[in-house]
Amino acid sequence: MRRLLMLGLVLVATVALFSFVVPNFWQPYNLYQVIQNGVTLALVALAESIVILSGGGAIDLSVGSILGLCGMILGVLNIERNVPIGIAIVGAMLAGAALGAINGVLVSVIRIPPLIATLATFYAYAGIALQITHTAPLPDATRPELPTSFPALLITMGNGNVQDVPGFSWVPKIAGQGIPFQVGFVYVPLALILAFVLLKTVGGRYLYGVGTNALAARFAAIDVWGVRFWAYVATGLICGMAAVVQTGLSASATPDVGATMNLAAITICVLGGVSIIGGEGDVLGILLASLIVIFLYNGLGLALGPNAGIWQPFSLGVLLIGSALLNESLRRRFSLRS
Amino acid sequence: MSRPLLPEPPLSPTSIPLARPSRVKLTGLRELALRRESIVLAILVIGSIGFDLTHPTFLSSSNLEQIFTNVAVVALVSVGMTLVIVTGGIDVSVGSALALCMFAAGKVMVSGGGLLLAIVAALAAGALVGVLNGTLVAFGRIHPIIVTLGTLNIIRAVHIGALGKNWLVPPHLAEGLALGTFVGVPNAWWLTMIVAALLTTFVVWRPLGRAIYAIGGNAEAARLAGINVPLVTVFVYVVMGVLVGFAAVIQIGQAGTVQPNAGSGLELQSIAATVIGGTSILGGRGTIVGGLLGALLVEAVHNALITIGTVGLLEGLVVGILIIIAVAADVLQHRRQRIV
Repeated sequence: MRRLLMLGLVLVATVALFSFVVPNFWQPYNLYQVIQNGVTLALVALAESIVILSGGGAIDLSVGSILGLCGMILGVLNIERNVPIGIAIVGAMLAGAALGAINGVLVSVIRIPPLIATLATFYAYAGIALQITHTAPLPDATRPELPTSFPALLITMGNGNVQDVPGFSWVPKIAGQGIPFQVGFVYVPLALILAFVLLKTVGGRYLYGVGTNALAARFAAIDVWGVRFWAYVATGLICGMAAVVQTGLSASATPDVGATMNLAAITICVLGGVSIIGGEGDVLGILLASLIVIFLYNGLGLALGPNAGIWQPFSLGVLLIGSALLNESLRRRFSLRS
Repeated sequence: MSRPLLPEPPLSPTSIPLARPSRVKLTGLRELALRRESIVLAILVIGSIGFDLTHPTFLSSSNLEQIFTNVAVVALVSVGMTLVIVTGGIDVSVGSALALCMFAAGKVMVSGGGLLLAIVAALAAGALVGVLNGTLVAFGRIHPIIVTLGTLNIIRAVHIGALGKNWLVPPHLAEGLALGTFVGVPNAWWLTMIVAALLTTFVVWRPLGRAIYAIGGNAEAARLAGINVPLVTVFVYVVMGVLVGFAAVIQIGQAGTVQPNAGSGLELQSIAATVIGGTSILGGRGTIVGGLLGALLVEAVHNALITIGTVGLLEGLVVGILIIIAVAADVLQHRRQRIV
């Protein structure tokens, strides 16, 4: 609770600071756009947290590459192969789960330390994503024989509002702005499901158990490596969903869209109270940390203009190390573990 | 640096506080043949000859000179990476650190300082990065991947911020060092060999060098044996930084410019070289010679991919797979009964 309170205060302080300093920050339209654009990262952060929770040094550096590759798979299926968009979306999500499963096999079956396994797949998946179209995005303006855009359904998933969906027009608008589709129909349901799974199901409790003390979990007859494998699969699946949302949002599949996303996702997890040694962390903390990072990015972007590309990663780096230092000092002070 | 941080071990021949690595005896030819270094060397030689059969320019003397010239940057960083990974750590910030060191050296050259001053600037910048990383790892007790993922972005931002919009084009002071040859062997490779030989002697024979292995093998045991674990850890990251500084001077001579994205991808190549060379990612085991051979293999693959014409895009995939094969081989070979 203490951490959630702290995160809430930091969030309010961040928003308040930017509202006073940056003229266009506290505008309904800007806030709407920040949230709409931020869902992709928030989803990837949720995905990352599942792996980190499983402990044993587990981390997934490849989340951004999975995002990029799944987006390209969605593009290739729908644009190049004319697969109906519904099937292409499911295909992209399953591809994400499969890429996660590869990570899971490397870590759980071959027992390569997660850090090095996912560093390798980070580059491998990114290499494949770039190779598919030789770095060109899809739809590709230089290839007139292909459709010039994704179907309206996918675009709506990234740019529409909850109120646009038949049967949901009664949902109240906030400050004249609708609620982005991906918030109402992707992020919120997923976060609720994840919170439920983590807190109320056997699988979720196993995940915490394995992350907190793998040896004890093993003696409680929990399949430690199996739990870690499925954690990677879940992470890949959610990254696949994030790829669908991102492709809809930008109306284009770009191979390097997730190039720096692992830093942002891990920063959100560490800031949100997910212990890097596993077993600690909750969905609400990650949600608040996601909002902090998303508003920070936007505020810096508005304040610095063209220079923001340099100082956004800088601020993330400082935030990552700062929150890791904070976690460590809190852990040493309060934890039951030595 | 030459002053050991540890007291000398007692001089009784029977009491060796920190075990030296099992040295290969002449009778242990089989052991020698099965070492990772020998296997990598064999793959390197056989692979090169095989590739040369289909692409006959590969083993030409000019291409070999090219490989040994270009490998120096990755090789120097791999030597440092080997030591870092031996302590059980990792450093993914080397690419940004290289860029910053290049900026420091380039700035000195542009403003009229000589080569020597530029080298000092690069080494100092590298050492500074090392102190930052090492302190956060050792005293902040943050996992090295978190620390260096953070500093990777922080240092890159500082580098680009300092560089501004324009590339830095320093005078060609480092060109002789980076591109010249001495008795037919590239100067850059000579430098790499000398540094590697000195460091190998250091880690095998000096107490501080042995302490690096002790920490990686079992940090708690090392602490109980009287090793100042945080101080040795900082020392290793500083050595890493200094080596990146050397590599930056070579790189500035080879590239001729300092660009915003200088050194990107270097962490993949150097980590790949290190684990291919047999360094255990779990720490405590690994040799500098292995790191050098691994760097040669990575560079040879890079060169071969360019020869084939598959530039750039698939290199991440190929090197990633090489890493997985190397680590999987190591893990399976040293598989203990790990239940969790």
